[in-house]
Amino acid sequence: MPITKALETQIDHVSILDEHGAFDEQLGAGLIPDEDLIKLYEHMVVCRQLDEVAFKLQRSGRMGTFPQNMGQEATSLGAAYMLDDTDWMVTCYRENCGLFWRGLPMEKILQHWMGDERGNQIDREHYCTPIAVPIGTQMLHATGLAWAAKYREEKQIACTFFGDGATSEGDFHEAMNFAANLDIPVIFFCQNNQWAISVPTSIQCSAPTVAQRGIAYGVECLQCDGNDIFAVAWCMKKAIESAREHHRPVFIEAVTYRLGDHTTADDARRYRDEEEVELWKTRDPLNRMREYLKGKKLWNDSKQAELQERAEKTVAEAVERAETIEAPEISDIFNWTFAEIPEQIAKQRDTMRTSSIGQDPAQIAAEQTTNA
Amino acid sequence: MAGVTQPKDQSHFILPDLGEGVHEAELIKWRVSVGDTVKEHETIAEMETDKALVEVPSPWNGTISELCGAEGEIILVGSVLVRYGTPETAAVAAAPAAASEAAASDEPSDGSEDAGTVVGSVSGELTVSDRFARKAPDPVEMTNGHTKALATPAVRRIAREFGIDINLVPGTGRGGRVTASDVHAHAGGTSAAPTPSAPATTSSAPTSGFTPQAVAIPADLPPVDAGNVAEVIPFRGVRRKIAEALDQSVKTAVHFTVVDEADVTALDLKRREYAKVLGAKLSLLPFVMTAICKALRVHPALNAIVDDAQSQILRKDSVNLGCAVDTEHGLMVPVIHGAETLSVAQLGQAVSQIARGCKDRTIERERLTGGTFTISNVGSYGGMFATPIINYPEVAILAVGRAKERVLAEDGRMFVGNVMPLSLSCDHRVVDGAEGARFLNTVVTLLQNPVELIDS
Amino acid sequence: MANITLVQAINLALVQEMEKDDRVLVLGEDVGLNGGVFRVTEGLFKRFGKDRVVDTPLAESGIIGTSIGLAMSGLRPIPEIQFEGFLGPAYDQICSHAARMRTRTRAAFTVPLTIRVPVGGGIHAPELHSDSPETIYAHQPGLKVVMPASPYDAKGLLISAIRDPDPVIFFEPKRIYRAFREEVPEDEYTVPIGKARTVCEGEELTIVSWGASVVQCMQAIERSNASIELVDLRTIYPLDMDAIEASVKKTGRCVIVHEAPKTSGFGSEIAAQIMERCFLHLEAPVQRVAGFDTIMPYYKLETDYLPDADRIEKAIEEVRAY
Repeated sequence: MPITKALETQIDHVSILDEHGAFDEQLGAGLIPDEDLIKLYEHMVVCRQLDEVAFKLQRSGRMGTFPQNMGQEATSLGAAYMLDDTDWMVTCYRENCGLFWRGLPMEKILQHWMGDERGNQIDREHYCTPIAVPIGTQMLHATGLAWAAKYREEKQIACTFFGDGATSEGDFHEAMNFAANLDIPVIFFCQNNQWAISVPTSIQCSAPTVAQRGIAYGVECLQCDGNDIFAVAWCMKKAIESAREHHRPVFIEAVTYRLGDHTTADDARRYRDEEEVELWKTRDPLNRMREYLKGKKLWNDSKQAELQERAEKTVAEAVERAETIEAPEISDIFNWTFAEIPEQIAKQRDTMRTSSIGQDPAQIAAEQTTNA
Repeated sequence: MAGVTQPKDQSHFILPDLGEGVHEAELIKWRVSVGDTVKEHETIAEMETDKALVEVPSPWNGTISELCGAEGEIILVGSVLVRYGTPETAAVAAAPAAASEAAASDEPSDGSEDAGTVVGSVSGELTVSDRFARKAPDPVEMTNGHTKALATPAVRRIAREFGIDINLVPGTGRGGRVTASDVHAHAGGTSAAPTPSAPATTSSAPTSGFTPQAVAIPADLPPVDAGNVAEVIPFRGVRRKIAEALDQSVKTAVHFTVVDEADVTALDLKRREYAKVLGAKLSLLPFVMTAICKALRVHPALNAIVDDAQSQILRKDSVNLGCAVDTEHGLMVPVIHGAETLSVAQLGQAVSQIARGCKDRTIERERLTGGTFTISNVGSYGGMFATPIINYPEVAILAVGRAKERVLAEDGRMFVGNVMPLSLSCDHRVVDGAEGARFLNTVVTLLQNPVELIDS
Repeated sequence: MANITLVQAINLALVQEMEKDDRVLVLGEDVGLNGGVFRVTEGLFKRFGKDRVVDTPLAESGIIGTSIGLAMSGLRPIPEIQFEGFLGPAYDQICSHAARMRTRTRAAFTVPLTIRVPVGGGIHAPELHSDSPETIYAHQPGLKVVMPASPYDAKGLLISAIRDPDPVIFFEPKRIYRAFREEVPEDEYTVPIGKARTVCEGEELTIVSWGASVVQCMQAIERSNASIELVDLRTIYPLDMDAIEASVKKTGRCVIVHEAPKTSGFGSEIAAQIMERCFLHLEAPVQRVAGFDTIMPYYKLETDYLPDADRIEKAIEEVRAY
């Protein structure tokens, strides 16, 4: 018998606005209205400003560890822009730009990284899940959330964000497999930023693309330039249609770059070349967007200066709000372990400053005899 | 290393943890000089930790008045990196130390004030005290002199109540264990009745809440047969207090007891209905309590105490109903204050609450005093009638026996009823026999007519 | 002798064992060029090359699962899990395979591996970077669980762990990674697994602790005027109950201190065994000073959560006064 081809496939790469300013009219025309473009750009600038301030806050001891978003603004923002406001955004921890587009207050993000759980107390109306620290775990939650929407016969879908490193975790593969086989309307949005802390993508995936991992699960796969918000929007449009109308999951690999350190506790100079960073700075999504807007006469230097000032003010005000939130009380932690506080935990709360937490005070006070 | 709290007055900047768990950093380069004005977020120094080379920014606007460290020096997290000073604060700094509470003038060499701002227990660089220093490559063999007594916690408690250091008691039990008898023997010599030196106080265990009271022992006691003793139980603590109280009652009040029975068949049905509605267990006791409260309204002479010192009888207004409770520590009589204002269900709750409080000894002291009448539920242990001892200085006590099915007769007809035996003791000095009997009769009538008992 | 931190002591142990035995290799996330996120493996990549110091994909189950295979073949892998909070994905491999392989195959296969895991709170880190899960693993038969509290013990115990024929979880308390220095011999030496250390001797009361809490205990002892014996377990499992027994029989009083939640924390096991072995010697109930039965709070509240010298001191006084 001759050997036949069991499968032949290809991965499409989408690029609309490249780093040299070339714009693909065929794909990009009408994709994003001009007034929205300006708003999107403003969000990017504010988000970048937060990164810079947050970094300083950590260095001067005003905030704990913080992961900067620098260089990746277009990915989560482009996705959030295309999703409906009631679609789930199931994020990791480098999607601030998209979250702010959703209206999540900036001080919430600051509060989280300032070591206060109340920063995660997100209004349900944002349809955003809290920051997910354990890598890759949230993709299964997104699959569950989307599954629930389908079960309820709602048009809602979910979009989950994660990095290239997360595609090595078992949960990623389980999530893709569930979504594909059970027809769950979820979009898997991989922000391939080239680095998982110090480990390059080549150690996570030695195939030419991360996107093709979806093929194994029968999921439609796309790759795009993640620093090109038009390309992100184009892919999202396609993916949203597939998920919403046909309950088919889609895997998007957005190729981008982490311009900053992994977090403020990291120093990327130890493991990657400055040249590589410099190269990617030329592909910065902010510059690309600004030049495009200027080219369309939608933007100029005075607008830029005004925006920069506004961004600084916005961030400074958010920092002030976050820093003036009253510190949490330690007794608060006991209130959230369960819906109803078990007596055992209530007792620990009431005795937390005694010699032995949770112990019946009558037991401790050795010989309190009542006079009968 | 936990966070660092910066001074509110912005007089100086304390080096924070620059990464996760960083305790120190090398000062690579100053980026500012004394006299420079810096803005919030402006870099003041470059520092290198084990993890990274970092730029340290100023947390606020200000003028640098002092750089605390030289390039190449290791700076500990929690120590001052730079000081700030405007012309005014600089003047304050120059003034004598006592001048400013703001402490912008902290002597760097002192350090104790600044160190206090470090949150967390492990400060920058911890030096381990000599006493924890490693003496030998590995643990030295530990000596175990066994000079301390072997004893169960129960026996230790007895020793403590006697005020005896258990380590001084020779043990005769298994493996040299100190037994309860050993403690008693040690406390009382050969006599079974312990005679600790009075006043006995705990000698070694400090802050023990309970100090055994010395008991006055009458001089003319009959001789005691010390032979054939199975166990010696010290007459102390709660037991002794109970004894004293009862002794005083019997010696002071003139007791008489009157008994009667109540057919509680109908009441028991009512009780079941109640229990169903409440969804909780409910005994007949709260119903009896309600009956007592109502009967005391009719016969107020029994809701009283005797003030023997002033030779007066104090009739009380509200009914503070004592409730004798048997606990493993002995008899306790917690009091339900204002019992007449409580419903049956509330009384039921109150009873279980105080019972629990007595059992685990969490009951407050105020709830053990102030009674005006006492009820004793002897029936729960199987008795019928009793001759209860009044909880002096009260003047009456009602013992409730166990309700049982019995054959009854009425109008020449026999039938089966659920009968509850009741025994009332009164202090004859205050309550006459007829008054007592009338009170008991009112209680019986109420118990036999649940509608009247509950609705009226 | 060198006056070094706990991080440096562990690094030294790794270097020496790798020099000595080419079956030893290190693997994990960021352990290579970056030297580990806490710089524990600093310099190893350069010294031993990428085949012995391996940056793996980001997959904890994968790291432990492949290490089990490496170990079953006779190598001595030392996988690193970046933070204790990320042990979760590897739990199945650790408990279903590493711990059981010897029993399952009647020793046809064994798993001599040392899983290094930074543990505990107090470093201002984000969520899932501050937990104390030692009891979970101490309760899994077939695992040894070690947690040093000083640079000297860290080096000696790690060498013992690497040479141990069975799987060892080597918890490294982050809070004291760099908190203090100790004289550590430059030559190789071992500290036996399963042996506690009496940090200081005393007559009135025994404190049993491990990990970063030992330092808190020292501070409480410094403040107290009582004669207190401090026992640093060093190994959680197998438990050196003989050392605890000897001490508690001497003092008659015991306080146990750990960061993990109080209920079902390892202190529970120790208290139970004290009841079994020292009942007749006890002059007061055993007290535990521990974390609360709540989720470990974010760092703003972590110092309130973690047992500190104040709480330990109160327990000391309570138990003494009983």
